[in-house]
Amino acid sequence: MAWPDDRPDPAPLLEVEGLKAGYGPRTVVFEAGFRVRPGEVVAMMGHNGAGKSTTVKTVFGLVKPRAGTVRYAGDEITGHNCPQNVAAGMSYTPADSFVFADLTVSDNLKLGALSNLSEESRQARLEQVLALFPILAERASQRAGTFSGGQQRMLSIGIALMSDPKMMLLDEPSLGLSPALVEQVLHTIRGLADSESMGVLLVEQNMKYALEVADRVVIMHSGRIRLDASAEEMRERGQWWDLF
Amino acid sequence: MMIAAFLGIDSFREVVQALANGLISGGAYGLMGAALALILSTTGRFHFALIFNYTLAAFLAAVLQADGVPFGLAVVLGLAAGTLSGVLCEAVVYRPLARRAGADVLLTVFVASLGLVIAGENAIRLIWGSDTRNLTGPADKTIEISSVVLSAISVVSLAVYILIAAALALVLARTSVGRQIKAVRVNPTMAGAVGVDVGRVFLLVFAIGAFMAGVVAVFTGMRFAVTANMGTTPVFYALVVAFFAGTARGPLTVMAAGLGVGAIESLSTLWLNSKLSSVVVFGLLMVFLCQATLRESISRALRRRRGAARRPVPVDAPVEAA
Amino acid sequence: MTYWIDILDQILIFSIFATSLNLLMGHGGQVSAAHAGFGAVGGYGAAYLAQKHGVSFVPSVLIGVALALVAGLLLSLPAMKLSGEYLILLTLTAQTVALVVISSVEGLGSEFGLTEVPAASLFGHDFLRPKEFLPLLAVVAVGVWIICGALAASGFGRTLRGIRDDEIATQALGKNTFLTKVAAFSIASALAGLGGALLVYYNGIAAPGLFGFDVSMSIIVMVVLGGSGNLLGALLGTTFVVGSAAVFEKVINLEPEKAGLSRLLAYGLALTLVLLLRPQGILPPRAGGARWRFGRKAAGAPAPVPADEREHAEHAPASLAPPPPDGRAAVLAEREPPPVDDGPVPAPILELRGLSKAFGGVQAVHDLTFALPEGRTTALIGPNGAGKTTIFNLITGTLEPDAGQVLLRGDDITAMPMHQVARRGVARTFQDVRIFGRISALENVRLAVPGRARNGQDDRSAIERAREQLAFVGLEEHAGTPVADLAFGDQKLVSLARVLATGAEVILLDEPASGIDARWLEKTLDLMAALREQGKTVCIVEHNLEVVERLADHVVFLEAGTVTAEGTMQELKSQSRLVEAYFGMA
Repeated sequence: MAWPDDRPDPAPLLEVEGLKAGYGPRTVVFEAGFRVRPGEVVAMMGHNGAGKSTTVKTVFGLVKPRAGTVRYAGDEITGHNCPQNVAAGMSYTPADSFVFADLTVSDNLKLGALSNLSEESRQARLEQVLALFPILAERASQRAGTFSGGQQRMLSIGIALMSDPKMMLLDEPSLGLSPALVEQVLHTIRGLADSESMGVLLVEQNMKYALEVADRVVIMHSGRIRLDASAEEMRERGQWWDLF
Repeated sequence: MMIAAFLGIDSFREVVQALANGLISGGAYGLMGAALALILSTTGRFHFALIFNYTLAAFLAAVLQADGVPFGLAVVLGLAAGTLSGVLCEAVVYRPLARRAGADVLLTVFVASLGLVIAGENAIRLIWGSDTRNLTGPADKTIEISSVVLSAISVVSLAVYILIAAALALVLARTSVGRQIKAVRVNPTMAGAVGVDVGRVFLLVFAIGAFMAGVVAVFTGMRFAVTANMGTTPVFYALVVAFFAGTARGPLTVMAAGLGVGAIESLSTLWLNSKLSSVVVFGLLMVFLCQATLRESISRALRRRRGAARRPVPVDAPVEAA
Repeated sequence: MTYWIDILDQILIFSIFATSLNLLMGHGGQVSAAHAGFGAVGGYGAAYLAQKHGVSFVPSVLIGVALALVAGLLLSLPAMKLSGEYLILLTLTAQTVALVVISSVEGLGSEFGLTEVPAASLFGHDFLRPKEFLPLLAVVAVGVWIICGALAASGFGRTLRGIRDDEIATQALGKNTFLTKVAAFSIASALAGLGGALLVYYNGIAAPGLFGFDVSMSIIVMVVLGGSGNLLGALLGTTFVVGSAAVFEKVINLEPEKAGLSRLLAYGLALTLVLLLRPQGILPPRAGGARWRFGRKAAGAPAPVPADEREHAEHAPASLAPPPPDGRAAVLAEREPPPVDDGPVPAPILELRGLSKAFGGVQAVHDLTFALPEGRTTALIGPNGAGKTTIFNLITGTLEPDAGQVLLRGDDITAMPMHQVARRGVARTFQDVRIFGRISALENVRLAVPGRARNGQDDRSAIERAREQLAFVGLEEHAGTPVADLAFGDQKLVSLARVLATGAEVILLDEPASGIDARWLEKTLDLMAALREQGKTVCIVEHNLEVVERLADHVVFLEAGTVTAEGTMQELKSQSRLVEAYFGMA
């Protein structure tokens, strides 16, 4: 799962350096830097309020960075807005209200494919997503708000996949799901990273799940990166109280 | 007849006539309400200056017609100007304001829209004068259906209003643009996340809303007269209708509420001084607004009473989750 | 000359409308689009009594005022439970209904109005010409300014400004915000009634045109244009709105009709432009505590940090060297855990028994039982979604539990309104600070000092107490600065001083260490230690375990809304089961 040492290190897909961000007078992220390579799942962990979600939102352009740079596929995209980033191949799934509750499942998925102009590729994407989550096909005309938490999660990942992303930013996709569903969702994500060489930045609270699917773990603490280590190293560490 | 006499009315013909009149004015309320609800629910802006968008469309059409421009072209230009004025309200005033207002966006935008209403109306008066103008369309005829008398233009206007509301409902339900509008309404953050240009959707919604108001204004101008303050009353009714229906509801629901309000208002003139009929409508809205809060306080008080009765919990007895 | 006196008279009358709306809207943040409507209640009431029943000037005006007061009270009961668009809508509706009623009821003269209002007279002296009205109007208007000014400067005004900036936080400081808003609305309506009655007597007629929706709009414009929350601003706004017609007519020499239109256009545009370019209005709202600031400035206190430098302030406070990147860790590493108290655990001051709360289908808190020992610092920790903030909300009455009870010194305080819980001595801070941004640091803290100032003595001691608390958190030099202009770390300290000023014995702190850098963390930790020495009972929710370890005597471990372990942080750390719970694995 981890990047094999015998292959040359590929260029990072996402590269964040010295990122600083916040809201109003409040700085939440003081300095964050990390990389995500194609096909790599990076889990971002840390205590509540450590700045994980803000970091992800800043990368995606939902929050304006106050300092630092974000590079994507070699190009600097610091301060780009969401539509630009979606067009460039990024997708983002927020930690809560991640579907359009009042809209049907098929409308939800169609909204995910806004940047895909050709009808053909959109159809192809839709088939892939429906193959991945058959339940979405069965309930295409149902309102998303009537779905259970787990089904909404799958839908949210379906929405993200509709834009054919090269880089997925997922904010706590396991939140509120039963352990069995978490396994399913995270392994789907892992599978996508492997099969499509997709980069994944995954905010996760649960160490067990993170270590199961991630190649690397980045730990944030009070707005800074405290540790950036391979999943292997983290597993060997054995205890983590000091990181939180 | 006896029932009619008992109810204090002369005949059922009178009732049907009042109902028909009510539905025709209700159609205008409904379309205005749909415009206001679309803007408020999608953008969160209390766009009171819809008054100005409305007036400008009819007034400019009347001015152009008086200057010799053919009716059709004058109406098209008037509608275009009204629509543009709606877009400009958002682009030039509300958006920059909202960016800085923080938590007070709603109030700040409302006050700014008051400023736009005042400035807009008086700019129109200064430029084109305060005189009442006419917008003369195709000659009107009266239609008589089993002794109910209606003006042809008013019947056409009702049909057009309902068609526009239906068209908007269809756009919202079926097209990509409609999906984007609904997406912004339901979950703006997520809409941004999937790449919807939220700012552009706002502008679009203002354009649609101002256009709808303009259509009502043109018909109203043709049937009655064009004045610089013609927009205030329709927008007040639009507010009533939009909040009765619920601002997040679809255009057809708001239209239905508009027709209902029009009918109630018109029917109330059978018993009431016609000037007081609007009190019925606004009074109903006041009751509607007050009862929600009243109900909430009553139920909270009741819950507390029940809670007090239930509360003494034995210290070590586990309490089952409700 | 008469022309200008007429203008001056009108300015005086409308200043009554504007200053009273300013109290409600500028200070209290509650909009009313029915202010002219309440003027109509007062004006028509007085005119009807005078014209039809021969009631003389003063009693008719007073009855008009009373009618407007009652109307305002009745409307405010539902209205002050509403917010945002619903409040706007309800007042718009009330305005419309008032206008329709006066212009269609025959007894009130329908659209022509009451046209034969007798002349105002006082002590046998009739007021007929503008010149004669001037002294009368001046006396009344100045009286209203003084009343509004005094109300704004009092504890009542402070509470109003608290409501404007953050209603929930104001409740959490023990203020009954609903009653305050109802009182403000009723007073403002009564004063509008006074303005209306004077307007009617001044014009000798009560006509619908005097009290139309456009008049309500123009009153709002007067308040916003001059500067919300500023008495002089309201007067300036009134002068601008009323006086500009005269300027257009007499100074620029436009025809009267053009001048009237130009005036409306000018103030409509001015309003929009002022909002865009200078949102606070021509004159800024007074942050309060200004004397204090000037006094300190003389002593060499630093100027408030300009907005654009504020961001960087957290990294490089002027007086300190920039902390190293891991400054927070260094701060924490230097510090010892709280002294271990070997004595018996003190009696609980606050107890939670079997509390349960579900949101929709999700059980946020389930059969929760724990107690806060008096004088100790307790921390609530647990994995995400363990229901920690919900517990604070249940204790302080923000939320009502489905089952169970909250006891304070044995008294049941379950689901008590927030302000009553606060008055009994349980105060809290909020995760998102909820500071009153537009008022000064000193006023923020002073608002929290309980009790109403009934005389100057009380008032002075309240200021002293507020100053003490501000000095305690080390912010006395920023006493006069609007809190929105302070760095986030300082805002958190102000919110702490605010909670302390309530005199509460039980203090609930929601994430005291989040979002602040080394310098403030150090200060916060020192303050916590000082609180402990003062014997306060403190309960913190904090996700930074290092902070918890340094602060808490007693840690309550929560999982899925229920307590699964208690002890010191050291003890909890050694339990492998908790590792599993916290990190999701053993």
